[in-house]
Formats: sequence, C-alpha cells, structure tokens
Amino acid sequence: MEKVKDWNYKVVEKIGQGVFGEVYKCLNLETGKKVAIKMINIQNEPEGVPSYLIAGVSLLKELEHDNIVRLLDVLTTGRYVYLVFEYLDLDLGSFIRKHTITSIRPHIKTILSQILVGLAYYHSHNILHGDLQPSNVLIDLKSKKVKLADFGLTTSFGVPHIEYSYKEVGSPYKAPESRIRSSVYSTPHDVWAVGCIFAEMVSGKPLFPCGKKDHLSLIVSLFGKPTKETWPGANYISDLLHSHPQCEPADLAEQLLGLGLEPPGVELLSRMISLNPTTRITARNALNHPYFKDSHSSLSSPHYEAFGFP
Amino acid sequence: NILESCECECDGTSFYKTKEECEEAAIICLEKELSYMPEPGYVEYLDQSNNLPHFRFRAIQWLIKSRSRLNLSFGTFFNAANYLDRFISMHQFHEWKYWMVELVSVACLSIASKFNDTSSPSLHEIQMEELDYSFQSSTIRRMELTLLQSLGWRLGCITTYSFLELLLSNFDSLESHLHNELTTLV
Repeated sequence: MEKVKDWNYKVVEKIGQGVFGEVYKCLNLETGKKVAIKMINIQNEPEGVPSYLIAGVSLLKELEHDNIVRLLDVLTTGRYVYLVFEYLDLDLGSFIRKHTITSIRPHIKTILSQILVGLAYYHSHNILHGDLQPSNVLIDLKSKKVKLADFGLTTSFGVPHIEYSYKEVGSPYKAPESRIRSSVYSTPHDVWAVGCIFAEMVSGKPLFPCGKKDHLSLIVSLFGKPTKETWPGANYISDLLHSHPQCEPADLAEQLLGLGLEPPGVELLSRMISLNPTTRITARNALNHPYFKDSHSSLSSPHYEAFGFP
Repeated sequence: NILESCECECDGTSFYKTKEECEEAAIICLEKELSYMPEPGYVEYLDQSNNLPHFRFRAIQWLIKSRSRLNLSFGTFFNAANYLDRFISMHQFHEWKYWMVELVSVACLSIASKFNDTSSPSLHEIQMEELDYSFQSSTIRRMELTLLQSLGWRLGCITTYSFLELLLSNFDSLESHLHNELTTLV
C-alpha cells in the first residue's frame, strides 16, 4: 500500500480485509477528497489478469449513476491492481446506530428510494450487487445523496457480480433462496436485502440478526414454515427445514405499524421480503409503489431538507 | 440507453425487437464507435514505418487463426484487433520489434476472450501455435496490465462486427440457416 504515495494518495486507515485484498480509506492530496482504495493482489494468478477483474472493472468504468459510488481510477503495479472509489464518511449502519428510530423515520423514504434507484440501475445492466447491507449504503449529509458501495470484500473482490455468478454469502441480509445450491443467484436476492434494510431503518435493529439462531430459523419464525403455496421452490430445501418446528407466522405488520410505518410501507416491505423469489417485487416496480407516491416531491420539500441531524 | 446497447454488441446474443430500437442502437453505436478508434494519424504512421504493417498483418492473421482454433466468439477477434490497433497507435514513436507485437497480440486475445467469452483458454493454449516466441505467464500478465491501462479498461468497443450483428439481428425475414451461414462468413 506504500505505493499509493507515488500517486499522491495518503493512507488514512484500513477499512476492510478479505480474501481478495484489502481496502483503505485514503486522501487524495491534490484534491483533498477522500477515497476508498481497494488493493487486489494478482501476482499469484497463473492465467494473467483474472477475468472477473477484466469484466468487472470495464463494466464499472461505464457505470455512472448518482446513487452508486464511482470508480474514479484504476492504478496498477505489476503485482497489484488498485481500484480507487469515491468515498463518503457515513454509512447507513452507523447512521441507524447513532440515531433514534423517531429521528430516522422522516428520512426513510428518501433513503429507501435512492437505494432502489441505484439498485434498479444495476439490475437494468444485468449486474447484481450481491452484498447489500447498511454498511454498504453510504450517505452524504450535505447533498442528501445515498450511494451504493461494496467495500466489504466479504464475498469477493467488490466488483459487482455479473448475473449468475453465485457466491456463498454469510450475511444476515441474504435471501432464503440462497440456501438452495442450484438456485440462480439473481436480482430478487438484492431486493430481499433492501427489504431487510428497510425494516432495520424502521425498527432500528436488524430484521434477522446474526448470532443466537441460524438464519433460516429466523426466517421460519417470522414467516412460518414455507409451504407449497407461499414458496413453491421450498421443497428444494425441505431437508434443511425438516428440523424446524411448525410455527405460526409472526405478525410483522402489526409490529411495524406500531413503530410508525404507514400501511403502504408495510405492504411494500412484505412484497420485498416475499419468500418466493419469483413473486418478489422488482427494484423498478418498488419505486412505483404507492408508498413513494408523496415522496417524489418530498425529496426536495422542506420536510426532507433537514437531512442532517443535530 | 448507451449501456444497454453496449451489452448487445458485446455478448452477441441479445437483439432488438423493433425497428426503432435497432435504429436507436445503430445511432448510439455510431456515436460510441469514435471513442474506440485508434489515435489520429495511425494509418499514416503505419504507412511510414518499414516493418510495422507487416508485423501487424501477421498479428491479425494469427488472431484470426487462433480464434478459429480455440473456438472463440467472433466478437472476441474483432475486439482483440481493436485493442491491438489502439495500443500500437498510442505508442507511435516506439521502436517496434516483432516479438513486441507478438506479445501485445497474445495479451489482446487473452483480454478480449476473458471479456467476451464465458470460458477463456489458458495462456498456454493461446500460445500453442504459430508464434515465433513464447512468453511466461508473468510477462503476459504485465503486458495485459499495461494494455488495460493504455486502453483505460474500456473494452466494450464498437467494431465492424457490432454493426453486422445489429444488421443481422434485424433480418427477421432470413431463414435461420441462412442467418447462421451469414454470421459464420464474418
């Protein structure tokens, strides 16, 4: 990482570590702007520059959207590739942790809609994000912009996945169909994660927290045991479900209404976390949901003007 | 949308449903094509140099043969040739030797295939036939990186083949076997 000095970057701190490399928060000494630099080691690649990097970077170079962090530069030495991304200091994870749910509530619509706009842009180009979670949603308080990022390196190199490149994700935001080995890892997977993020903004805590119980048990305890009707694909995971006791679905709607979410919001959320991936709402359709009916104007309305918190 | 059209050209599988969509895509292709051209003065430069036109001719021939030998997509060949020309045109004052052109060609084909094809041949397979020199993986990797940096990682280029694909996709009236025959003629 010493090398970035030659390109006028100063390392501030390490923010991620994974199989594919390391991520550092850096400062561009010329512009004073913060960036995230992902360092990918390719010196042990026997077949030259790996194809995921070639396909991923060339795709990222073409992507340009307000709600997606930009790939600003690609630097290389003979052994490493450094991806220089736009960086924002605040992520949704810390935003939720630092504030009460009442103070977050007025901002949910604008944050959610921007996440969905960014995601719809990805999906329209046949790209999957693959690792959506609050820490990958960056927020700029000044400009009231929300940008999707992937600095985690938990799943892979951080370059968004081309459709069908399935990777096991050990995240509490993963969709139930990810338990089916043969299933196509596809766009509904990302929508499920957005649903989880939505619920987390409303309640202030993860919908399916990792820890005590396993992921599938948590899903079963929320929805009840999947049936042929609720999820026709579920028979593929019947082996996994075998040990789970029969249980009644929890009334999530009531809880969420109690937390101040409007009924259209509850309806939208239920369609985002539909067990059956084929009936799950798409990012684009979610944006047209009645929940956002009054929010398009509100993005610029005084109500949402005060995006920052005291 | 520019990117959607780009996908069409690159993967060679999608096609346009209506005439309007096809026309729109053609206009975008024409606009985009310019940004994937070799540097200005490239043709003059080739004309003036002694050996380079011959080196380039041999390299293109090798790319054509390798595409067929390795059973790669046609788009891969056209992309590789585009990368080769763009790279040479960016290094016009270079003292080009044949081994250099050969190394660049190997890197071009390798990158084009990794970009375009669902599975790409190994560096060993790529180098199996009709090359004067043999390069180590680490050398090719470095060449690939230099090439990628020079091209700005902009690999989804618009080539002659992009337009052909676009035209062929609109030939609804053609029988499928004729369609295939025309595509293989390319």
